[in-house]
Amino acid sequence: MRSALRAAVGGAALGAVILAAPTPVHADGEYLRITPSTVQPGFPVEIEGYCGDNVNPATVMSDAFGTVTIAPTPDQRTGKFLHRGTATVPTDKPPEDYPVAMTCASQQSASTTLHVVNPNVPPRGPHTGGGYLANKPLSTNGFTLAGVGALALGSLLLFVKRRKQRS
Amino acid sequence: MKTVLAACLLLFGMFTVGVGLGKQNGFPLFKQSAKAPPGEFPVLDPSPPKRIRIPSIGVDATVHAVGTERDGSISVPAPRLRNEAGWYRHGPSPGEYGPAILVGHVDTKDKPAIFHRLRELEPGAKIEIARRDRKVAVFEVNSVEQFNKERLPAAKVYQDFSRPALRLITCGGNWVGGATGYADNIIVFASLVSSRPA
Repeated sequence: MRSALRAAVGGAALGAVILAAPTPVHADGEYLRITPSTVQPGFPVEIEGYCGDNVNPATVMSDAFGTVTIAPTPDQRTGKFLHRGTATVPTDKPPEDYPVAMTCASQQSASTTLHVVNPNVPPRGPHTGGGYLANKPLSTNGFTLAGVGALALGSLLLFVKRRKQRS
Repeated sequence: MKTVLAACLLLFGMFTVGVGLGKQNGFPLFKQSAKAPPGEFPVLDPSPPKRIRIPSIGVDATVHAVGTERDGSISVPAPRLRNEAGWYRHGPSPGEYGPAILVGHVDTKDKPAIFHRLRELEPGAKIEIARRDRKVAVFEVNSVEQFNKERLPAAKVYQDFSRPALRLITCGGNWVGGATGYADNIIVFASLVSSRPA
């Protein structure tokens, strides 16, 4: 199940187009993006950074997952040198907003925030009902009323016809 | 002539009662069963939800934050707030990556409540959440499903962080009573499709 979710995150990060992710952009266009930007402890995130076409490795640091050094590779679509990597948030990481900072080889930098949430999975569903509607087997649903009315009328007609036939 | 009319009325009656009971009990007579989430979507910064609007089932209500019960399940609004929804404050807010969870009562012991028509939602229906930062997150329903409360598919409900999404949860199924109440939860799965200023 977990590996399927990891695959889903990876697929979504590569395949889905994000319309307006909150990514601060700097002078040379350097940026840092973490996907997903909100995650549970124990799950991986994708890192994407841009150091203005610098071909040397950059370091990405956060209290959420430690330090990752990423060498850039040219992006297939644009040809720009992007730093792409992954990191995993440990299962015991307390839920909080964690700053993430990237330092480029050229001393440029970019930063963003990773929101770690929801470490506990509820063991059962919420108790969202008091039983009022459960005591009403037939509601005042328009369809049901019309249908019952038609059934009654039809049965009455047949009954009247039978009586007339007999007498 | 009268026989034909009676037969027509009986057939019409049987069909219409069927549709009526089906609508009431959530049988998907004329529904499409699911709609795929979008390929493109925005991602929003965290911000608590303030209001929920679901035009197709007449919901327009306040949202307040809720936490966790002692048994680990998500807390629910107090009975006097039966027409408000509760946002699970320990999960993502609507618009962030991950499933933002809103719970609401289907009824109290003597009145219908905010989500009493939730099971009538169709895939493709829109749900709007107004947030404290004045942005409105617009979600589209993917599916409406029913599970036994003790056997919710945890990964699908709580742990899918592949896109910004929404889970609306209420009760349904048979009334068991006691500490359990209703046996099942009705869960609406929806995905973020767009956002706009309020």
